[in-house]
Amino acid sequence: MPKRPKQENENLPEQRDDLELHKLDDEALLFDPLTSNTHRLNNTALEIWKQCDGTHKAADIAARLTELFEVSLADSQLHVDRMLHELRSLHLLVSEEAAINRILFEST
Amino acid sequence: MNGNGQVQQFALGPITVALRTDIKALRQDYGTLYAPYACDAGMAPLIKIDALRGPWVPWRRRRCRIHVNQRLQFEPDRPNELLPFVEWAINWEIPNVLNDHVVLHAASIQVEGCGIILAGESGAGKSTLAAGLLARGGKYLCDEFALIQTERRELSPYPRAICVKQPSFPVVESLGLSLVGRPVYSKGFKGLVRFIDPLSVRSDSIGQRCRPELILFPKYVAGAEPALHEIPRAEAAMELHRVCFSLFRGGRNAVAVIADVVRAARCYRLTSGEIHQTCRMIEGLASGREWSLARSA
Repeated sequence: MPKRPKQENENLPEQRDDLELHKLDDEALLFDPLTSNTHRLNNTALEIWKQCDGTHKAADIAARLTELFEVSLADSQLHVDRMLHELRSLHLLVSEEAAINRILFEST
Repeated sequence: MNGNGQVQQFALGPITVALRTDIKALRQDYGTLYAPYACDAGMAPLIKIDALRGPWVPWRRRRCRIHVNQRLQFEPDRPNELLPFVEWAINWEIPNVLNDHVVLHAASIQVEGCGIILAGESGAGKSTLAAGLLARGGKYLCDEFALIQTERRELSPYPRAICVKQPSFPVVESLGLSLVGRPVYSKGFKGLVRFIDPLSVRSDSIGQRCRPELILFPKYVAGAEPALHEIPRAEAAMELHRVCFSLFRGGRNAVAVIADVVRAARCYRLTSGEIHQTCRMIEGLASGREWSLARSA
């Protein structure tokens, strides 16, 4: 019986483990082998990305950003929500849909 | 394809090309342009070009069929289109066959030992800048590609003839590169072109493998004062990604190579204007003389 794909815990965003990160100064490139797309992460996006390890809630990530950058918690929360929304729409976080895509890709 | 035509073989850097044609003018033009690179036909070529006359059709000009590695690529119908379309067909095939290189749509040149990538879309002025730097003493690698050897992350020379478009004819002549006597060809929608063999400029004009240390994104603006604007490495990497032909096979490796190359280089957007001023600015950067000036600009 096929293994059930890992589902994202909406509260604990987690990076897909097949993505490749290339750090360039304080920014990074993120390569997605499924789509062959490369995404550019600026320094704020990179910090958010680093925190998406399946152990931090969005609120924790926002709090971390306020420590690193001089932004209010409200602004930080807004950035984090937007970024997580974008990461989900690009299927860069662990989710049932991303896992199915990966299984389909690997089986072809 | 029929079995007619003589085969000539050439080795240009990592690319070996075998050209089989039954068209005398093409054989002469290509053979003359690449005579210094003629090699033993015993070597297995990476790219096999068959440029053979197509069937005769009443009321139609007889076309030439250009096959690349047995795939039909172009069917030019005018004699002065043959050489540019053969060159174009080779360019199309390079990313498919050159497995140990990352292929970027960019000119590459060496100035005072410093490898330079000039990346940009068609019409950005890559070939003209490459010709300018070559005329001023630089070593030519290629005007169409930056071929980055994946293991060593080094630029390989691919000394194809420099393709000069008609609007650049006067600029190239002002550099002291004579176009007199060089045939004019038609390159489809790109207009009229002439080819310059870099070895006809100087016998030592071809560069060696080298690390790319400067990455420039030129944009020609008529009458503009040349200007440099340093850009973040991630931005440069995304730009190179956009002009990379190697992503459809081994994208993971290509992105890793681009990231490594960018990490070790200085990256600028270049507004290019008057050719000598622009070349002087690039030479200054390559030798490190204007590095601090450009950085603070």
